[in-house]
Amino acid sequence: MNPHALLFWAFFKISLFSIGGGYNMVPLMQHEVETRGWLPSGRFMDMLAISEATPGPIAVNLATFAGYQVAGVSGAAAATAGVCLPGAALLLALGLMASHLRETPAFRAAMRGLMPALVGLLTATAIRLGLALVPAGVAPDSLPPLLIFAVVLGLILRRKTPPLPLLAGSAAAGIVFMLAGIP
Amino acid sequence: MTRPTYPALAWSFLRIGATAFGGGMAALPVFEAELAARRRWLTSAEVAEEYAIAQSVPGVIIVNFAVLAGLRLAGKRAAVLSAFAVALPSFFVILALAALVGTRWDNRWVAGALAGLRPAVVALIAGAAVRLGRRHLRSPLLLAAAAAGAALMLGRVLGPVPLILAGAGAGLAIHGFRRRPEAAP
Repeated sequence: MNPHALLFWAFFKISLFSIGGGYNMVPLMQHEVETRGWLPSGRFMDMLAISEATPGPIAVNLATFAGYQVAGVSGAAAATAGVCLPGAALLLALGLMASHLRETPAFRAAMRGLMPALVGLLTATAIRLGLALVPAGVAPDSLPPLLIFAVVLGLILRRKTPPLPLLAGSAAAGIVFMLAGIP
Repeated sequence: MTRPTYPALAWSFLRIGATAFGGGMAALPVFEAELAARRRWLTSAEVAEEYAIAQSVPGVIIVNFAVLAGLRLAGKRAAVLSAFAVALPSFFVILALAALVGTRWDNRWVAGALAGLRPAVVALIAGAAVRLGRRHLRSPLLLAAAAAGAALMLGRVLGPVPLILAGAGAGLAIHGFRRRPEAAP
């Protein structure tokens, strides 16, 4: 398969199997990007950071970015089309019936089973990406990322701080560490 | 209520796409401000209803919402137009950033900022897991199921797609045949 068909198909699949948008796509996307060897996991986190800090749907931002990295502007278009299509086509086909779907007992039952799976996937992804942050393991080099992680997580859970100021603060902290010569 | 023209609809969704920071989970106020307060095409309750539907089907929440709102306001063509319009700003902003940053990963300012952003991104994902868990996993059994899912994924026993299908299947098997009393006519 040529890279454009592959990008389209990969992002179509990612989108088709994720309910609840951007964050819930991250595990699928990381899996796909990693198993295909498209990007190293550090670069994946960089794309995620930029996608979350810019306006618009996070999933579209990520698809555009990943597509561009793999196959240029046309790759970005293929990945973006793939990620938008499943939901858009389904809703166009269902039309006004979509609102009834949510009320059916089968849908509610499937959603109840989906929740533990989603939480498990997000947890596993956080652990996997978190381990990639500290390649040195228990070492002084691991302190700056651990510090930023702890502060941001604390603010999200305790203060419900929105992502944008958290990301801006973290980028600033990264630059301060860089200027101070801390790895 | 007047039916919106195509250019007006496209312009509204371009504005939404260019201003919705934080993605779909944070977009409800942006939808309300544009479609209910500014244009008065929908009421706040209608916006909230379409938003809830957009969240409960697969795909991109903001794009799904654009399809639903376009469909409701002016039919299928409007739905497709709205979806394109809402994704377009993202596409170009990210292309510009990717072209700008993609050749400068090793620049020390870019590298410094990204070194700070990476742990924040992991914290955001961990935070999403905790928040979703607090809201939906209210029994030890459900927590154990989530832990088992995480272990299967970390051990590379199951990929995300089989895990999601297994979760939905288990939900259907356990709750699917139980009738809800309030659902009776």
